[in-house]
Amino acid sequence: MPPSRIPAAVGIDFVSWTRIKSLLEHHAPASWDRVLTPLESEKLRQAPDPVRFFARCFTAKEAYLKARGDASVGPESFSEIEISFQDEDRFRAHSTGNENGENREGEFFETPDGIGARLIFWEER
Amino acid sequence: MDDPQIFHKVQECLSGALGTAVEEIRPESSLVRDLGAESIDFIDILFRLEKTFDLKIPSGELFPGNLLNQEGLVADGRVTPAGLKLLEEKIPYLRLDSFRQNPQISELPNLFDVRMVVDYIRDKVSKNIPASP
Repeated sequence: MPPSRIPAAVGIDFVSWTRIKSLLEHHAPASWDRVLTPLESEKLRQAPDPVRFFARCFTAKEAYLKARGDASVGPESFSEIEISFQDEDRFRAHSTGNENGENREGEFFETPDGIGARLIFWEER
Repeated sequence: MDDPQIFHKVQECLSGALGTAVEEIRPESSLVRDLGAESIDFIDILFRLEKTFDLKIPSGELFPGNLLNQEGLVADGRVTPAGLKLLEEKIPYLRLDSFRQNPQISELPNLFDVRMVVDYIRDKVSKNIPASP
């Protein structure tokens, strides 16, 4: 019988365009450094749509932290998670903290109101 | 700057970030449970406090951030005695008295209240550590 897997944890986040634009209007570029890694900040500066780039990074990190069960301790772990975009719909979250540099994959979803990310931690059975 | 002045300015920061009426923001209000703060709001709040009081708030100084990510500080969804000790040392503004009885990590954000923000700002202002030279 082939190995099967079950979802062990799920993280979902959604942020409205209005909220993310307001944050960036008031606090960019300082807010970048609190949320993004140096590499992400560099990529954001070259991004055709910086608001969208920032929103994608933000929701992906939040979804990852929620799946890991750490979201409840505040937003300041964000700079220890690096997000890379696999394509338009998928991302990889890489923890640079003390979790042996684990990688997790997730996906984005968008509505006219905002953008979200979802991520599942799978467990092999 | 005296306590009422600090409290009023903190109220304005929180009101601006959360869209809550100033008069609804009381010292005992929990930022998450009572005022509905979400992760993105905490970032907004930190920046507004820094601007208003001309302070630099280092990561993990006012809110715990990733403080409890190390091994042995959380077990089975509960903050361990070592985790509680670390919280007490690093975030002295956090009131842990009732939390100690049932230290569920999921309940920790409910401890972030307006009073702890005021206490933190008072401490920073009294030490006169401005962000700008």
